[in-house]
Amino acid sequence: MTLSNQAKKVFRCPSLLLTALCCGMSHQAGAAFNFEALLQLNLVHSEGTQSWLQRQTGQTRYDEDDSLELGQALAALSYDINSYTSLHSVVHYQTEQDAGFGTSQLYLKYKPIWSATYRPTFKVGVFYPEMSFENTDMGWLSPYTYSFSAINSWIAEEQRTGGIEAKLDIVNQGSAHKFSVTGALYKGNDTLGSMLGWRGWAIHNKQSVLNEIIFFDRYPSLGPEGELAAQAAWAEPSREIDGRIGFYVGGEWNYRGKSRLRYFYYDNNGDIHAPRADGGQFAWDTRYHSLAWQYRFNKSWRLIAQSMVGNSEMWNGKLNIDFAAYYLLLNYTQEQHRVSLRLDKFETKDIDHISSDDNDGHGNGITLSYKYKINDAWQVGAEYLYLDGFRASRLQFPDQQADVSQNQIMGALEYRF
Amino acid sequence: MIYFKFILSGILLSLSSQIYAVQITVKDANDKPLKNVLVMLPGDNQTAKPVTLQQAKMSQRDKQFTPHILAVQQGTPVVFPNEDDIAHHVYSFSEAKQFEKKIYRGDDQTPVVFENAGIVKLGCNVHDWMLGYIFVVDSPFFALTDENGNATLDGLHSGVKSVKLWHPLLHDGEITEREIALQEHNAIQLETTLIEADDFDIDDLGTY
Repeated sequence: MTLSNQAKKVFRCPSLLLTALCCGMSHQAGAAFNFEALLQLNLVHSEGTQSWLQRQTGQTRYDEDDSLELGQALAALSYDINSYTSLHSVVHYQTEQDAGFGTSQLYLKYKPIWSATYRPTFKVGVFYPEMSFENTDMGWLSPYTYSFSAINSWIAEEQRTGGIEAKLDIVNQGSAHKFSVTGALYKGNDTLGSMLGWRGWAIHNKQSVLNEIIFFDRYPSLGPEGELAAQAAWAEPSREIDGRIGFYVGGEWNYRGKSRLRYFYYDNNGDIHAPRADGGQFAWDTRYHSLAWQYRFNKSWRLIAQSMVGNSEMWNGKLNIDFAAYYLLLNYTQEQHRVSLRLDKFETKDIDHISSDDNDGHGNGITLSYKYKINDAWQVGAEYLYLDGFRASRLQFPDQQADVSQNQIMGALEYRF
Repeated sequence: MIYFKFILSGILLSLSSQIYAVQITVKDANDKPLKNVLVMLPGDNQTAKPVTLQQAKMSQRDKQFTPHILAVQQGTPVVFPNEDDIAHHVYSFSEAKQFEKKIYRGDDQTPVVFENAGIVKLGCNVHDWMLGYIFVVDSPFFALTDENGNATLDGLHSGVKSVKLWHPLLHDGEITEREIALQEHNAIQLETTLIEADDFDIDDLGTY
């Protein structure tokens, strides 16, 4: 049984209830309640092709025109239930596709004080895995560039942990080395891989919210005459299809905060033989390795890098891709000025036998961003994004070329309160 | 590993009725003054210096303990004002004092009394990188060296005394002792290893 659209919208935003609850409690609770919000307006000039958000094949968020866009509208809420337990939520308002309010994260965090050396943290709910060093700003935004790397653009739209995570920080107070290990069990994320399979990697900053449907182009291979006609031309990242539990494990080595190295192995443990679910969705089996590194040369300069290598398979192997993506990000921060340059490289390799649905793709991205912090509330900035992407799936449309270059120039005004 | 030489020079500052104030300068081998080195003398055999246990302060500012090292006499009450606009949760598992304290925005004026001598390592359950020290001294004769490496101890009798030195990065955080003659100029050289840490733990661009 599927939920009605209205019911889905209500369910998508349990945080609104939390907001009302927290606001009501905040008079008594005082400082235990924390509320931060951010609005970002983007003035955009874009060239290339239309975005997947318009059900086209473009790999950037904005389209081939000049426009004023609501880049981000989000609020991060937290409430301390007691000294060790807190409730966290991030609520978004979005104007694209199935617009409206939605929740990207909603979880309970329990961080007891057991020992100075062994410091556990438990999370239950829906949240992001902490794999990269890029999305460390409020609401999982990046403090460096407006658009996320290809890796984190994909995580932002298709992946969330809906389950339980345990992390243990091992800190010998005063020692130069710190370590942490993380493990999680979760459900959902069963359609993970869909966006890489058809649209391919993208560079954007649109986070999906709970129960959101992400539409992409109507590729003929998914149409009535296509070999994959049973698959709908969209993904439902929150869906649980096969009833199986996925997992990830990871660890970090932190040397004086100067060098931080993080490895994660992710496996959603999908059952590719599970029957087609309502709405034309299948369970995907997606596994990858993620290796991330942050190195701070000094207080101003830092390098962030991440690589992701994996495989995704669905529907008895009718679609089977190897995928990989990498980025290098160099940041310079001096007082109110922040300049970042990121180079992205990505590919998907089709290794299935359905020739009418070629999922090969590769590409590069260059992102140059400048942010100026006027004060704690206001920030202005600009970003240039160049993306050159080859997608074999574009050739399913007679009027398209596989290789498309996209340019996106953006001015941004940001207000935080 | 960098080897530093610590030079202690005690300079006789004043004398009145056999009571002396001694300035001790701590420098490394390159004559660079070292700050925040705790210099202590045992209380025995010295003048009965009046015990003034004024309330001390260990703030949290910009997600750091300020000061990084606080030295107090046994029995001193310490307040932990939070000058940040986010909550901190200060704790210690050290033998000398075990406590925890959630501190929201603004001042917290409820002091913690440090009854036992020893080193108290402070952490924050919200910000794992935060590290601070409270050294609880069992004597009224102690001081931390300033930016110029100087510490002044007063109210002392003449004679040869054993002076204790401590810094978390000196001798693996262990207390070291040297003898100085309180009536004379002193020049004591110590050889030890000290890794000067670059403080990268604070990350203004977010931590996760």
